[in-house]
Amino acid sequence: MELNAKDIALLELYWKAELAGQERNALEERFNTDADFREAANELQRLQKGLRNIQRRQWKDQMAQFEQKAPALALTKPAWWKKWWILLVWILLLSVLAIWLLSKERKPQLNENQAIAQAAFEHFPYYGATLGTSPQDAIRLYEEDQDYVKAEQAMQTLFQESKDSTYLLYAAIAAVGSNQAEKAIPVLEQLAKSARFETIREDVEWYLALGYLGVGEKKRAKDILRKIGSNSNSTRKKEANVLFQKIIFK
Amino acid sequence: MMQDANSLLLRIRAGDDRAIEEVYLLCRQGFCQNFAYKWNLSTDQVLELYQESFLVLLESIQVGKIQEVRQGWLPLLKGIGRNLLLVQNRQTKQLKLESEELLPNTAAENEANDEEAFLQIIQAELDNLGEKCRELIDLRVLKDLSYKAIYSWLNPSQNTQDESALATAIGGIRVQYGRCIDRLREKVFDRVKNTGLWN
Repeated sequence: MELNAKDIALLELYWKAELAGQERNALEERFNTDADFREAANELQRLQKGLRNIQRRQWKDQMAQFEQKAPALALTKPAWWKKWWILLVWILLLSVLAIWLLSKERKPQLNENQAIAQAAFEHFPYYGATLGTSPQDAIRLYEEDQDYVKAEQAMQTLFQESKDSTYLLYAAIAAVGSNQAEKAIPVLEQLAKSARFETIREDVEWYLALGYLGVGEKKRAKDILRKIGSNSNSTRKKEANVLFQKIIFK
Repeated sequence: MMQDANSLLLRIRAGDDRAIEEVYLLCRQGFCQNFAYKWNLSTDQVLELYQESFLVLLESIQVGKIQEVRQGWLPLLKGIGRNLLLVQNRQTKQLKLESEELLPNTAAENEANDEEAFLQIIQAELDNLGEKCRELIDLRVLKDLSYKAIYSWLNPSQNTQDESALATAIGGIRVQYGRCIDRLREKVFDRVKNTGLWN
């Protein structure tokens, strides 16, 4: 049976499911009633599929020719570290960041005596003959910033340069304030005996007591505090007694 | 880079074998390396998968399903490869479940032989057709073009403004193609009947 152009166009639309309802029904009716038409339609469908398969086969032959020209496949197994390198880099970066943050944020833990000494510590104002001529950085660190760690270093440097023991006094007080009592004690012990600091001896002894407390030498601290507390003229009498009580009843 | 990919796409659609070869060789190593280890395939298996994926790519280009290459050829091929593997895995599972209903090996072999003989008959009869008919069949069946697109393809310089003249010309293409494909059908199936294929 011969298929005309219209039949072929309708069949192609039908196979693509693009045929409208009425025409589709009519075509399906014809399939059911006209065996020759059905056979011709099946042949056409088979032929078109065959034509596409020929095209596929030609492409396959073409690819076989490409393969002859192509270099051998090098299927190397990717190294695990190449596969996971991004993850590893991230882990490394996060670890470095965590370590940095921990080291930055972590403040030394104070023991009970050190905590009491630090709580009792108060800023000792800068005074004396050297006030007007002192280098501004050291004063700023001590007076304004009250950064006692840096102030202690700055004052030590000034003392090395000028041999003025006033700087040594403030370096020692800054050391007590920054929980470096072991640095402060030998200095304050000396200065407490010095005639130069006669007028502020009680203050020097007060900071020495805090220093002793900071290193756990409670007996020495108590001796000094008892002495200050028993002096009726002392300006530090009250706070010395309070601190003494704290040490005893802690 | 995407411009290069899209110019290759146009060349492939126009049937440029060099463009096909360029894309094939460009993606081969990357595709095979990726699938060999992600899906644990042997060299032969991965090469077969690559070629099947490439065939799907060519078919999609030819029928106009792929109009643009946005992210490069390799991602496109990898997507096709993944789909093929998923379909294949589903079919394998289904075959295992329905193993009793499988055709015996000999029947499957006969079927394949008949199909091969059928393709040879089509090819021979296609070669006997005139060049014009072969072109029409190629454009309509393989490139899946509409009659209007075939008219434009065959007459690129003509810009017909007259609607009725255009409709007549398109109708002429439809009739010509109908005659060609039906002639081919009759010749092919006459030979099929004579050779006793699929009996």
